[in-house]
Amino acid sequence: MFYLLEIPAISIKPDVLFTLGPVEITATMAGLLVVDLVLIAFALWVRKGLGIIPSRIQVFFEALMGFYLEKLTLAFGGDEKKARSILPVLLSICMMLLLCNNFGVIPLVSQLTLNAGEGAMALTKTPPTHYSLTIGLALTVIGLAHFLAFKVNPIGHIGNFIKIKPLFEIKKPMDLLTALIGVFLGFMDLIGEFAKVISLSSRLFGNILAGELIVIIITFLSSYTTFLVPIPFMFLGMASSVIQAFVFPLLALQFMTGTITSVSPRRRKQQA
Amino acid sequence: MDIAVIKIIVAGITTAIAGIGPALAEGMVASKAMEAMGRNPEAADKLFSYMIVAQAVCESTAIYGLVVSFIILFAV
Repeated sequence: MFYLLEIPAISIKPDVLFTLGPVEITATMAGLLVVDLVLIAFALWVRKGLGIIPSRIQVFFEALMGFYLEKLTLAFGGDEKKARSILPVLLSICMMLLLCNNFGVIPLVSQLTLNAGEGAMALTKTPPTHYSLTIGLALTVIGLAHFLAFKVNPIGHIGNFIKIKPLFEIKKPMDLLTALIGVFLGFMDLIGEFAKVISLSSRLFGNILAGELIVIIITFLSSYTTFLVPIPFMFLGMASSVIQAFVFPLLALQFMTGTITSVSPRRRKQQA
Repeated sequence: MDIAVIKIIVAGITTAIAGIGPALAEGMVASKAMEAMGRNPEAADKLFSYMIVAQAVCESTAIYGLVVSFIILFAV
């Protein structure tokens, strides 16, 4: 017998648990809170066992840190001190996303519901399926890059986007054209900064939401596909989640170092 | 035609067309990375992470199409 099961209502807007003044506290925020608590507990636990002879968990975190430190040092042209100052932001984003993206496979926590029976809603939900989280992360990363670049060289940083300097150095009529093209390109760079935010945030959002929706749709497709069939799709979703958790900080790293090194005095690149 | 039917058809077309370019691009990135790894196996670890980043960048247009089709299906 073949019949369609009731597919749960899919909406991009997450369920609102309660409102705190003008702020809506949603299920995804509750999920993020759980992830944060787990991360803090994990950090304290790992800290307790630190030693010269590393435990297994310490080796894992040292490898993770080494991976990003190497990439950052290379991007800054061998300046390890600068790399270490940015590293905590990227590393904590990576660890948070590793847990957040795989939130759906954490047992028990993701099945908590509120108001059993009528009007039941999930208490926690995978955090990156809320667009506010991903756009907030992207804005933080890009904004931090601009803040750091502005602190190093304010005039130079603004001059990268508003290129009016060649307009004052016009000697021939032909120079006017190149100067105007320069102004136009600076304006395009300004638009490019906003495009970076949109591309970073919607990449994470789209991947995670798609991974979740595929599992939901396959599960409720028919009574035959409820049990074994969704498992490969779950693995596919987990793989893409882990890749996104590594790719988001890596792309953020490229954007940040690009912005910061464009205003720094040029240094000789180390031969790798 | 019913508006719900139009929504489904448009969402399908959006994702299908958006998937063509990134599929070709990701295959190209992977094949070039494989060639480079074959020629220089010591650099395989370094190349692999760069390959993943490049593929994520290629993938972004497909994800834009996907997000647009989600918006068409569930938010409009």
